[in-house]
Amino acid sequence: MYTLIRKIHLYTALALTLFVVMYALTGFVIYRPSWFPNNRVETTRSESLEWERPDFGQGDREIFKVMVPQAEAFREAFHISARYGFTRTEKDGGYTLVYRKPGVEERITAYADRDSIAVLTIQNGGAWTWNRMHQMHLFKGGPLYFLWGVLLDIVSISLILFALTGVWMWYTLKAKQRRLGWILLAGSTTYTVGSLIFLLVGA
Amino acid sequence: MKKTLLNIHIYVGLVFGPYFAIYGLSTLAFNHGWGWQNPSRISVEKTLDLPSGLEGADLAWAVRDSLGSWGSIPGKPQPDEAGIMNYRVRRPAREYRVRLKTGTGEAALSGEDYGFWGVVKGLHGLRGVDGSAWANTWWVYSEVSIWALAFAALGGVYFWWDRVAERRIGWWILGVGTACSALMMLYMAT
Repeated sequence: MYTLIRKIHLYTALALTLFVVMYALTGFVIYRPSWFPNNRVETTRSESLEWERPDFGQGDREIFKVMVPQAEAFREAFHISARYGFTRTEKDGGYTLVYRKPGVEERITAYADRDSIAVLTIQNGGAWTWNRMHQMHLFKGGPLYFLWGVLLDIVSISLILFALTGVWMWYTLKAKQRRLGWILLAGSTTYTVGSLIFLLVGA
Repeated sequence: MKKTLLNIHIYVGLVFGPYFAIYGLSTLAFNHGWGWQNPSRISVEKTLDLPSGLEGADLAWAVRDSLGSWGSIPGKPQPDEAGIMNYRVRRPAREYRVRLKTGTGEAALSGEDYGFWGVVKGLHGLRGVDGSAWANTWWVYSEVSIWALAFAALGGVYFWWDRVAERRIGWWILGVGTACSALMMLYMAT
């Protein structure tokens, strides 16, 4: 049993080394953005197009759903290669559709005059391309995005498995010296579960 | 040397294992969109005695506290010409909108509570919440966990390399896994 668990722990880690290291390193881009200057390049083009403003719901998710058909229509009309991410409402009554993929962000702004559109293309620098890769999830956007989603699921489940199999291996290996391990495990688990409860029950 | 490294690998794993589990759970939640559907709606309306001498962000914080809420307030809220101040209060799993009539003290708070999965996702990359000492410790745990994850990965490669009988199969798994991952990342990024 121990050998089997150890092999699962080792081989899943080896298979996913690059993904795990990528997520670990890109975590620094998110936590320490000032360490990684973003040498991005922006280009803007304007197009003439009449558009109708759909009725928005209350929350951001409702806006996202309502805008999906128009986002896809705009994506085709303006040859956008990235995937639709979200819609941001503008103070003048217009809105901006944001499309993202690692390395590129495209924003289509539909102005309140309802007959003009601006397309802003942002080419991100190196570290920020990795940052976007860290944030890429969901299965929508075509076969490649679906495959990415499957891989992400495997990485996520593996991380949970690393933790569980690691605890199991510690428990088996240190049969006579578990006190320190119990203290560390109890401390970290209490802190993590405590943080969850603290954020869940607060007003 | 090997024994010491193995002990560090084990104990580092025990300290940061819960973070890895939360990280894995939250990534699953992001990937499947869990926690966005059917949030609980929150609504509070009160007429407050606004403290004198406060304005802008200070007033926004005071009103947030009086409404029994807590969380970060993005930006620098200011009243408009009619004396109405609109701003947001955010923390993991909660998103509130506050509308305050500065002239009369009428305050309305509305928002959504995304529950358990909202909190799990909120802990993924949480850098702190204004005014919460506990929530502000999480980023330290997160950042050290990132180092621990990198260390655990390197340590794992070392322990594998030390097992001569498993080198060949390990190379295959490492090579194929890394090549497929790298190709996919490059394709996505270009």
